[in-house]
Amino acid sequence: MTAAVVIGLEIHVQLATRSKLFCKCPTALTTTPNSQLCPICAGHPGTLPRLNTEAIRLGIRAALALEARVAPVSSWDRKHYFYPDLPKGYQITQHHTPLACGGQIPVWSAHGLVHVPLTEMHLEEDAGKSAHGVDPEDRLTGIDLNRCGVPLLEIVTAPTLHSAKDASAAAQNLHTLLCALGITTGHMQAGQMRMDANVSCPTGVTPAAPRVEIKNLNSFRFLEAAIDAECRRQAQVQQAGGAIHAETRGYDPRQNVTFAMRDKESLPDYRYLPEPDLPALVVTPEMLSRARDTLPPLPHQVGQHYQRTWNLPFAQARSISVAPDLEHYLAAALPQTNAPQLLVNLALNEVARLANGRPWNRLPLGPAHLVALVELIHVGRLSHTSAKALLPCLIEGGEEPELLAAERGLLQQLDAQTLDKLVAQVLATEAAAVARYHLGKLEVFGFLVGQVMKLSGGRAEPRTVQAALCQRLTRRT
Amino acid sequence: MPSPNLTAPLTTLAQALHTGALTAHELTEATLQQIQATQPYEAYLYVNRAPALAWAQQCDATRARGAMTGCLAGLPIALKDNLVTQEMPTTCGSRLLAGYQAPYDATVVTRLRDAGAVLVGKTALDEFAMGSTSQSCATSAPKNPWDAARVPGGSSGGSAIAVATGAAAAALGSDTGGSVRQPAAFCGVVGLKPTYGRLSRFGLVAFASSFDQVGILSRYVADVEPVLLALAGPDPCDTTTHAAPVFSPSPSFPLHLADCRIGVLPEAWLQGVEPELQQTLERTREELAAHGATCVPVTLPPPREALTAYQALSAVEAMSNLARYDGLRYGCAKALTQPFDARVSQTRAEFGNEAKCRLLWGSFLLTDPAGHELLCRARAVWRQVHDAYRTLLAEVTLVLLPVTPSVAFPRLDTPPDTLANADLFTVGASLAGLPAISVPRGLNAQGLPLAVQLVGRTFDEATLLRVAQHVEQPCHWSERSAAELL
Repeated sequence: MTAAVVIGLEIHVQLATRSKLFCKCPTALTTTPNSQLCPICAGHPGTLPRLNTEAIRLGIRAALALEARVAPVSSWDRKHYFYPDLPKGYQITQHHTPLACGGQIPVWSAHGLVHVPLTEMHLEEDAGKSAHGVDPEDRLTGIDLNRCGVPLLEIVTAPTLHSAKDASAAAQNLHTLLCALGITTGHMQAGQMRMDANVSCPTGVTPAAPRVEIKNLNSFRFLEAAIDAECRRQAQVQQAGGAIHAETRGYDPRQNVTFAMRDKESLPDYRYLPEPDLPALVVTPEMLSRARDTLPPLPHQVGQHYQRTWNLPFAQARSISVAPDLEHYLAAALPQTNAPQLLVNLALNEVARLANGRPWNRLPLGPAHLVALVELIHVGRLSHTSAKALLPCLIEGGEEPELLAAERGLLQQLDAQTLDKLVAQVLATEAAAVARYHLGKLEVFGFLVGQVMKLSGGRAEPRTVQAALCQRLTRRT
Repeated sequence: MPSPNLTAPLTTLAQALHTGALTAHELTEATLQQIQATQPYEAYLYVNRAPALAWAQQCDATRARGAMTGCLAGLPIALKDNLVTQEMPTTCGSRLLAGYQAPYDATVVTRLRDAGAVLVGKTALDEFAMGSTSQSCATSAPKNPWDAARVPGGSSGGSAIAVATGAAAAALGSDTGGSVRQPAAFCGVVGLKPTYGRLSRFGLVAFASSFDQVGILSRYVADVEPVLLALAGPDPCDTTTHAAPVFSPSPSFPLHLADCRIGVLPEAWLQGVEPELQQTLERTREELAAHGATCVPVTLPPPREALTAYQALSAVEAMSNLARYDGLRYGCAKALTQPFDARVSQTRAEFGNEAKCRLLWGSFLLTDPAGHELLCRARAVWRQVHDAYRTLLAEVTLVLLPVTPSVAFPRLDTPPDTLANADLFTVGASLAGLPAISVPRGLNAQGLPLAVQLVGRTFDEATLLRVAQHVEQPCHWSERSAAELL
């Protein structure tokens, strides 16, 4: 009998600094290999690391956002291995004392808020990239050291996840949070967030199952698929009477299977050594309080606030929570409107589509004008269709919605006399429907309203029509 | 033009340059000739002839214009070949860095240039500064200028020879466990290892980063000061450097030796020191006392423990620092068409035996459980030695020690014990990160230099140099005839 799968994640996040962790080389994305190098990140003899304090600031910000305990003093350590894209022969990381311990990833979904516990997080430098197939015969390996020395924050979760979906949700929520706080730009295709998943399937007999590590997953879809594939493989092996052993595996998305990379037993001994070229990393209470003071509400807190205050559905609250510019816009608009849901619908659908990726704070259609537009719809002076027709112009123009609607003749204004005539006309032509209404088929009422509206060419105001119809129908009785 | 006295004090040469009695070009030309003449001692791995002469001419021109010149303007200075320079190759005495031309200058090199120094060349050393004979240099076998059958000491052997023979006015070396002090003692010159953090290590090719420190070699104690002043000061490129001022702001000069308490170690602690060096130590103590200093009996953790700890600690850091020499990006590259692993192992097979031993020892200490235990013990001794020196130096101004257990030993068939003990008395100051100086004390009956060591308080090179001046007995190599020498 197989118990639930146990999953832990190690997530590497590239910090949004302009320069590398130990030198002044830029971290910007470039397509020219080895164009962002200096003697320090290329590992020339005699060079020494020089700490980028911005990376420390971002690391502390992340730790506080994730409610981890920041170590007052943390270490820098060298992790040794020989690899073509590791020019110093070691990576500078924080092995003995990490930047922060504990903490949790808030995972917020339609079902509510849960927390995925973290064990630790630490800073380290990235290695370069090896490119295979640079020559027709595929005998050469190209080495690009641009990424060498780029600052990473490695965040390690406790092995408390029990499904691929949960793992993916945790990673996505972490991504959302770190992007919202400006800790990373989170460009997945550029490898700015890479995940390793530790998967073990404890059985009833052996509760401490061997841990299989799946390396270097760079999308949430692959993360989920890889874990599922690995669970399937482990189940198959166990069903066939085989044993799972600790190893490191890769994931092949084309065939949707994991494959062996190396055994855990043959793992290199990293020969960790305290980094003598850097003083210990000291985080002062002042640094902590400064970081705390500048920490905005987290995305899930923003989203929950919108859910509660404006009674919005999860999906909309979530969209708002991840877009600070939109949130800022709505924070200005919503308290002014009588139809918050209508406003959010209009904003998230029509306006967002027309904005076409432009940030909300740069739209000529300001919150006040959107509120005015929504009010026209709400009181029935403008139909939804007409509002939509006006938006392309409003969004560019910054005009007063009511003036524009009036100019275009879209405002729903009819004098009582005309309306009365129209109502009378409809009641006459739709006698059969009126008869049905009097027999108790009240749903016909809506149809009759529609007919009056149609006859008015969209200029009638639905509520006035309803009132007039009501009056006439009752008078007849 | 009378040829300048190349073994005159640096300060005298500077004065002559200043008054115009001597031009930088003349001095550089004469130094280059001396380098040529003393070539049999194999002090230099690279001579920077044309650029040095051009620089000297520029110094003369600047001076002729009456413009400001640096405090070392026109003085010929040599660099140990583990300090990187764009102008000259940097090999660290290793085949691994054959043909390596660094893309940047070490901070100390830049500061020497800023002070106007003429960089005349790169001097020989033990491979990657690991050794105490300079004989593990891949491309040269440096010889002691007082007896060519003997070692010049190491690893800064080339710098010591150059300074002793007048082939440079002063030289930079590097001292990890005694690599400036020991060759200075063997060659009869002054060797200062400043406080750890006093001089920038940026551009000093790392051996054991926790102890590596650029050092200064000169013929007279007074010559150290201008070089130290030119080099000292914090360097943003080396976060282990310190901003402490070189000379304390209080005008405590001239220093009264009567205010000094000198720590003197008991005979038992000095076990294994040759009798003549024990006598040298004793005479030095007497002289200091005669000058009014108070000599206080003190003790420190046994030197052998410190040495064993140092050997372990430096080996693990060497293993780490030398991991980058894989032949992929610079220096020597073997097995170019082979896969990565073969390429790395064949390239690294080019390390000499001394380096290989230390790399293996370092790897063992970090991977094997027994090794790890040894390493833990070494770290405990490190702390112990560090703390013992600090405690002691709260009580005394400085400590008087031998530099080495013996004078310069033969180059061939050296007893393994002699080699093993070469750093016995120098590693203490290295572990404690304290400034230490090797001071010449004349010659023995065989004409070999004698020396003593003084270890001072942290960042107090000033006091160290003042006291050293009282006890120095310079060795005048130039007074010996060339025929007698080689």
